[in-house]
Amino acid sequence: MQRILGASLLAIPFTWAVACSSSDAKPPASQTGTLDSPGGLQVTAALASVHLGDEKCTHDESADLATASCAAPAADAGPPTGTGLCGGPCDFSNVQIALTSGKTGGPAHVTVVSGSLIDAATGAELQSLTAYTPLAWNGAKYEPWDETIAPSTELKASYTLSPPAWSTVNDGGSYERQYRVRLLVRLDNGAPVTLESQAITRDPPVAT
Amino acid sequence: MTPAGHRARAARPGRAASLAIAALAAVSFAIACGRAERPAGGPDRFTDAAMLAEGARFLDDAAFRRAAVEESFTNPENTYARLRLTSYALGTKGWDLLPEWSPRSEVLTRAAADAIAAGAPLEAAPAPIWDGARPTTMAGWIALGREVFFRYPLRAEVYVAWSLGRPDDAARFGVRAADDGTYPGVVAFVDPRGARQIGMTCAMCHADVVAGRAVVGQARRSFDYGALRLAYHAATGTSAPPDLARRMRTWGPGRADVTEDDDEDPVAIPDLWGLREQTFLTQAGTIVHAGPAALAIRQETQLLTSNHQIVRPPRALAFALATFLYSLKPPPAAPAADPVAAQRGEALFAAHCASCHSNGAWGGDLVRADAVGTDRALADGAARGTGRYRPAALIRVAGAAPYFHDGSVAALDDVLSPARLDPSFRGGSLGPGPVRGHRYGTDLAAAERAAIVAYLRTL
Repeated sequence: MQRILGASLLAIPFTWAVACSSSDAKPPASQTGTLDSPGGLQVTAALASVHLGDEKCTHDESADLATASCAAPAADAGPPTGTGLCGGPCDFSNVQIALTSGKTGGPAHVTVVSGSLIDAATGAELQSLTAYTPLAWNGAKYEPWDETIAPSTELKASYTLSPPAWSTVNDGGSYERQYRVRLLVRLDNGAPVTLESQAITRDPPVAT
Repeated sequence: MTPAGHRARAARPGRAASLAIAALAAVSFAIACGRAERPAGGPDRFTDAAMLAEGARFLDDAAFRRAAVEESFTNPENTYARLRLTSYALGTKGWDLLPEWSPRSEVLTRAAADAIAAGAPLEAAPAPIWDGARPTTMAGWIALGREVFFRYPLRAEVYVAWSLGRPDDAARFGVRAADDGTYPGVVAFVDPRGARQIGMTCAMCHADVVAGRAVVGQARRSFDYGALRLAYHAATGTSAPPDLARRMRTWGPGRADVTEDDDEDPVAIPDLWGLREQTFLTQAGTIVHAGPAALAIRQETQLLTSNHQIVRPPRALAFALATFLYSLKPPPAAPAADPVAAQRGEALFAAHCASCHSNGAWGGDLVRADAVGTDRALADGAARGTGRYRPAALIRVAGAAPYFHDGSVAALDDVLSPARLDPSFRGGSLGPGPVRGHRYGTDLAAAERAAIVAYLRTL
């Protein structure tokens, strides 16, 4: 008994050390972060929303539905399974990021380096995601954006996300499971910063 | 059916969770015997003056909005509540940071629909819904809310757009033009990315077209959204996800599954009469309707999520929509066909029904789902479930068939009929077999049940 107690007491400092070092090494992911460019621009980035849409939904959703010519699908559209605009309407995944730049430094380029879909319950990465078609709000609508941000700017950006492969994850994409979306974002060649959404679910087919 | 059950979940940290736990503990005690549950609040918050004052706080006070959303949910652990509690009125993150979208949108006319079907492009620049000026009177708010109800798009709607070129099919699915030449609930609009679209608005489900006129607030029970989508896929040679297609086949007219869970729990589209009287919103009582801010938040977040969370509506439009919904008046009630029976029925109703159907719209506070006994999938669902159901508002109930939250009872007489509970029953709107639950009144004598039904037809 004494040996067990002694070993246990010895283990306490080790536990503290592990707990402290792991805490120091990996701060908790956040919906907000600060990006720094080598040119001195500092930008605060905050996730405004993430929407998880349909599987294999990657067509250009800006197509005019009323006159919809079923244009050739985007290269990454996948096989025609009937869940794209021309193979059937679908719901795109997307992420919205609010960016606020400081007063100093020169214009810088924002890059979403990578993305991933996380199981909110286990923390396991389920698949990688790509953010594409960058858009920025011009006061009335989203318009194509070259991902450049100037000093003293408030910018509301929107990216389409590559579609989650629901049929391969979590019981075929349960609507009740919770997920997180993690993005690695950087400014020019600055250090990447991780933004991570709160736990979210897929939106229902008929959202009300 | 695969009811998910009311799952225990890890407590959400923070003040909201503490408040919610305290509230749940309090109401659990209050409803331990299946009694109705009533939130704080009350009629004083729904006078015009109080609504205007609360509207001003909703519009201008972020802390008020945050406090309001935190008191808005019966079960803060369902996914509907969680999304809002982790996204709404947070200031430095979440939905506050989305761009505010005030759309250009016009109710579609028959002439425009015909032109589109013939290949003409959509109108390039429909008129804006709002000029950006806040109304200063209740009448002004209601008028603006009417514009939102008919014109603010819930989303681009390719299925409805497709049906417009096939008027006979469209009418079969409930997409109908009124005699004034407009399609209530269908708009041509410019979407947040600048593309011209056909869209759907609140009026699609909550304004029926009767004898050529839009009856605002009356559920469009002919709207068969599942069948419309399936018809689109059949006609275009495309396919819906198989599981969704199977589920949509079960919806039928006036029903849709709108919940973000895996359950099959389509609900009947409700009428919108008497909202000021309702202490909870949604059939499962998902939202605590303590004051008008609760409905304004409900509308703001609905317009936001239905547009895929890429923009948010101006809050003034959400509040305006709430005032419009509060203003809705039902059509006149029918006179009693048998006044003597109706009078007797009123007394019987008071004795047997009014403890639950207790408010001014003959609805009431929440009742435990196991006490009601109807299908539990919605009440227990992970998305909007509370473990309870809200007694339906019975105002103009004669025209509100089918009945129960899931539209499973086809006729008003059957609601109280013991025959409905029998395995041999063939009158259910979802197919043959018994329709379980709400046994209240089924043990009364036939003449008493008939009297109650006679009274109900006058409400």
